[in-house]
Parts: sequence; C-alpha cells; structure tokens
Amino acid sequence: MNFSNVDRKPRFYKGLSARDWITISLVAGCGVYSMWEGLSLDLGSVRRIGAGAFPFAIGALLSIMAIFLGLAGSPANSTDQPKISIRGPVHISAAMIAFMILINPLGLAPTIAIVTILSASADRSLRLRSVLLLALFASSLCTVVFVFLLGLPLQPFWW
Amino acid sequence: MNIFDNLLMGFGVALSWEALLYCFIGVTLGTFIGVLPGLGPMVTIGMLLPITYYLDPTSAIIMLAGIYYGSQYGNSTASILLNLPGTSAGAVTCLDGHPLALQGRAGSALFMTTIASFFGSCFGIIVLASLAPVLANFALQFGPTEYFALMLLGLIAAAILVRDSLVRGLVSVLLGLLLGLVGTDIYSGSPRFTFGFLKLSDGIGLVPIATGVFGVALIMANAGRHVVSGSTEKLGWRSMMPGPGDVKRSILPMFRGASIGSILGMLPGAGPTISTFIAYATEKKIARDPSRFGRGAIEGVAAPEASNNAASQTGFVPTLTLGVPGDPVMAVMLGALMIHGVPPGPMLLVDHAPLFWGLVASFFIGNLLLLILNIPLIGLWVQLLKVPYGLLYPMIISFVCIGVYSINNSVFDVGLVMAFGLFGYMMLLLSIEPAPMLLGFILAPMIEENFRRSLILSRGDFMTFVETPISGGLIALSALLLGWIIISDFYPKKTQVPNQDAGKENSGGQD
Repeated sequence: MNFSNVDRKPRFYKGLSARDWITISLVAGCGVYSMWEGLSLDLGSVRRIGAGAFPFAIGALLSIMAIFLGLAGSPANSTDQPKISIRGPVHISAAMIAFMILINPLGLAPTIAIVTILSASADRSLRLRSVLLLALFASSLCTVVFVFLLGLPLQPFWW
Repeated sequence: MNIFDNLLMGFGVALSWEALLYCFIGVTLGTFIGVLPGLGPMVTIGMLLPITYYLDPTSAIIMLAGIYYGSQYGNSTASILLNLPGTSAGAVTCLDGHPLALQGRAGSALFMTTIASFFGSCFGIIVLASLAPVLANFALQFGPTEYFALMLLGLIAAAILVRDSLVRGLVSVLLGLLLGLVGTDIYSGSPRFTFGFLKLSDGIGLVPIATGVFGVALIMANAGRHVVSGSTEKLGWRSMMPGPGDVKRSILPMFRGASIGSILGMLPGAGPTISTFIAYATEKKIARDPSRFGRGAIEGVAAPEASNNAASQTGFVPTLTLGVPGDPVMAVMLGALMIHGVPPGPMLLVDHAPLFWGLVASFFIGNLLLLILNIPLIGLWVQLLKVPYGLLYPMIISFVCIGVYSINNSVFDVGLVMAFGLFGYMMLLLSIEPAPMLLGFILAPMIEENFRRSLILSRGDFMTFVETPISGGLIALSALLLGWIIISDFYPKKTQVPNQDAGKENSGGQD
C-alpha cells in the first residue's frame, strides 16, 4: 500500500511518455471525429437544438481535454502503469470470436468446450490435462444450467 | 400511510417464498463474487440481467440488489487474508485488516467487519426508508432544467472518482457521453455514430458495455498472470471471537462510518468506494494515536466497512426516487428496472409501492441472511480463495458469452462485448478509469433530452437553467466543483490519502 506524496510544484510540461502521447492523440481523434459527425448532422438553433449539437459540443470538450492532458503531464502513478500483455487480449478475443462463429452451427456444448480451451491457453501454467478437464466441466455445467435449468433457447448440440 | 404501514406491506411482499428464494440467491452470489478478487457486482449483475427477463420485476430487482450489497460483505475477506481487495470498495480494508491477519487475528477482524457491515447496512436502510418518500415528494417539483442540472452535477462528481488525474476522469465521462449518443436521435430520427451498422441504430446496450469494459477487459489483463493466492489459516469459532476492547473501540467508528456512507451514497457520483476512503481518513484524523493506523487498528476496519455498506443501501435513494444513478452499479440497476417496465422516478413510490417497500424489506432480510452466511460459514468462503484464477476465468468468459448472446440471440452483441473488452483494456493501459464512462453512457440520452426540452420550453433562453433556485444551485455547485477539479489537477496538494491503485492489477476498478 503506497501513499502518494506529491510535491506542491505545478506540473506543467513534466514530460510526456509515449503512452501519454497515444492517449492525447486518441482523445483528440475522438473529439475531432465527433465534431465532424456533429457538423454533418443538423446543429439546429438555440430554440430547437438539432441532432448534431450534442456530438459537436462533446467533441469540442474532448478536444479541449486533449490539450489539458498535454498540460497536466503524466499521471501521478506513471511509474507503476500496468504492463502490456499480448497473450491475454489475443486469447480471450479468439475465444469470443470462436463463440460467435460456432454457436449456431455447432451448438452450445462443443462451443463452450472450445471457448474454454482457447481462453485457458492464455495461462501457460495450466497443463493440457487440466485444460481438457476444465473444458469438459464447463461445457457440461453450462449445458445443464442454461439449457435444462434456466430453459434458455439454445441448442445443446448441432443435431 | 406512515412508514410502518409501508414497511409492513413491504414485508408482506418480501416474505413470500419466491422473494425469499431470490433474495437468498442474490446475497449468496453477492458474497461469492465479493470474496473472489477480479469478479465484482458490476460484471455479475450485467451477466445475470438477461436471465432476469424471465422473472417478475420485484424478484428480479430483489436478487440483483442482493448481489450488490452482498458483495460489500464479501469484499473484506480477501482484503484481510490476502491483502488483495475483493472489489474496489474493499481496498481500504487492506490497510489495517491485513496487518491484523498477520498478527494472527484474522478471525476477529473478519467477525468485526461482518458486524460493522451489518450495522452499516441497517443504518443505511433506515435512512433509505425515511428519506426516499421525502425526496420523492420534493422531486415532483423537478422539471427538465432541474434534471439536467442534477445529472450535470453527477457527471462532474463522477470525474472526481479518478484520484490520479481529474482531467482523465472528465475524458472518461465525455467518452461515455459519446457512446450514449450512438443510435437514432429521438427528436429528428437521424442516425448518429452508427458507422453504417443497422444493429447500432437502437444504440449500444448497457450489458455489452458493462461486461466488456468491467469484466472482459480485466480478464484480458490478468489472464496468464500469476495471481498470488496466500496461505489461508483455519478459522474456527474460537478465533472469530473479538479480542478485549475490540467491540467497544469499534462502536463509535462504526457509527461515524455509517453516517459518512449514508450521506455519500446518496450523492450522485460518489458511492461506496469513495465513502470508505473518507471514513478511513476521518478515523485517522480524530484518533488519539493515529500511528496505530496501518498496523492493525480495528477502527480502520470497522469504519470503512460500515460506510461502504451504508452507501450501497442509500445509493438506492437517488436511483429509485429521481431515476439518477449515483454510481455505475446503480446505473445497471436502473437499466434493470427500465427493462422490466418500472420507470424509476418520483412516481415509483406511488405507482409501484409494493415493489419499493418490498425491496426495502428484502434489504433487512438479506442482511440477516448475510450475517448467517458470513459468520458461521466464513470458512467456506476462505476455501474459495484457494481456487486458481486460471481455472476460473475461462468459465467466466463462457458465462459472459452465453449471457450476452441470449439477450437477443445475437452474435453481434458478443462481438460488441469483445470490442469493449479490448477498448477497456486499452483504457486500463492508458490510465483512464472506466467507472465515470459508464455513468456518462447511462446519463447521455437523459441529459440530452432534458437539455433540449428545457430550451424548447424556454424558447431558447439559457437563463432557464439558473432561474429556479434548485437548478441554479445545482449548476453553481457543478461550476465550483469543475473549477476545483481543474485547479487541483495543476496544483496537486500534499495528500495523505491511500492510493486507490492498491491491488488494482487483480481486482480492477469495479465497485
């Protein structure tokens, strides 16, 4: 448990890391895009605000915030920012894409087994045997709970 | 009818077999997910929301609420035993709870947190039952300008949730507002931010965003990392008994904690997590010997636990009577009410009186059940902490996929969850807190509608927002808060507030 002791000096231009630049450009990008989207819709008048006014205003505020982000510098905890992991996002995304593709042709039980195997393989410490057992357990549990107990309209198998 | 008649009616509803069953399921599940680091009420409620379609509204809300306040009991278990908060509202409990466990007093610390939680909850429920009708009456005078001003205040307050950088909090709120605008504009019918997807013309659902940003994103960050599971001692009845003076020393802190929690729970944008920080800081400030804190002071456990439980009960006051949620979990609860055709707002207490008072009565029953679940059965929950994360998260992913898919039988929604998972993971890497974003997302349609309606009614006169005392006062408060945000971001004061990031890697920012 750490206590943040920030000194009293104003933090103008404290130096920006690559991550800060990414944040600033993404925020500015969202801001500019939504201002553009707002302008392409009807801004309306003060008496009858149009569909574009809110997107434009929020976009403008986001763009201003991007400037403030640059002025404020790195966040106080910039030293312990989370490390980037590629395995987690890739495996979890793969598992969810597999669910999207397989749920209709294959049915629930085989799909869940595949989803479990794909997502569990992000963790290198698990043995193949335990992954397979987990897949069996997860797919039978999901089939029993969701199809038989809760009666969701899902096909357990493809036939 | 006075409050006692109402409560009597409420108990009539809450003591039916069905309500009791769902209350029990809710609080048990709540304790379960509260104990497990990395799975919070946000994800669970989001995941179970589609399943509650099949229930009647009262049972559904009783169960979902049970998950929420139940998790406030469970979150201290991991904080005390593993120094790892079960949910973000348990982060402060680590400070003194874990040192107590290291001194071999984990049992009595767990006992005191349960008692403090129970006390805080009961305090919060009494505040809820007595203030909700008053506030609902008051809210009948609210027009679109007042609602706009109140939501503006809520959004700005939500930005303060982010302790490192308040500008980042505002960025998060604004991104949420943008996401909330996706879909068809209600006044003109023109599609906005739909990127040509017909599926997006109804807007993005609450469940895909909530489960993606709060659940899947954290799993993406933690999968494959070794989450330390500490050794857990055996807890018997004897070790649960509080030491000499523990109870006596905890009474006043519990009372102060519950009062702080009750007030902060009702303010839009604050919520249980913030209240624990303030309750802890208060105890430390007024203690005769502040150096005891951080080394196992029982007050440092009792006060925050009482406050987060009180806050999670009084959080229902603005949600139910004004329709304005105070924190992201309440926002999901609000979504659940609307899905079930119960519009929250001042008329809820009149139109759906059995639901409201039944819910309040179920809080009493649920907290009694939690007392039973958490004192004799604590050993069971401790065992749970030994299950490796690698076996847990693939199951959570499977549940998320099935839960989201079954809302509309749409694989597009599963794709949205994945996209928001990646988006949330990116926010995590870029230090942008997701909680304010979700509040912005929920409030965006309401805030826009009320703003536009106000200006139509006043024929384009902006003075309408400051002319009435309620709306003017709220706007002034928002402006003051905003000024303070900007100034404090550039001139950070020397603070002694514990860093909210403690244990974030494993528990995430979910309340």
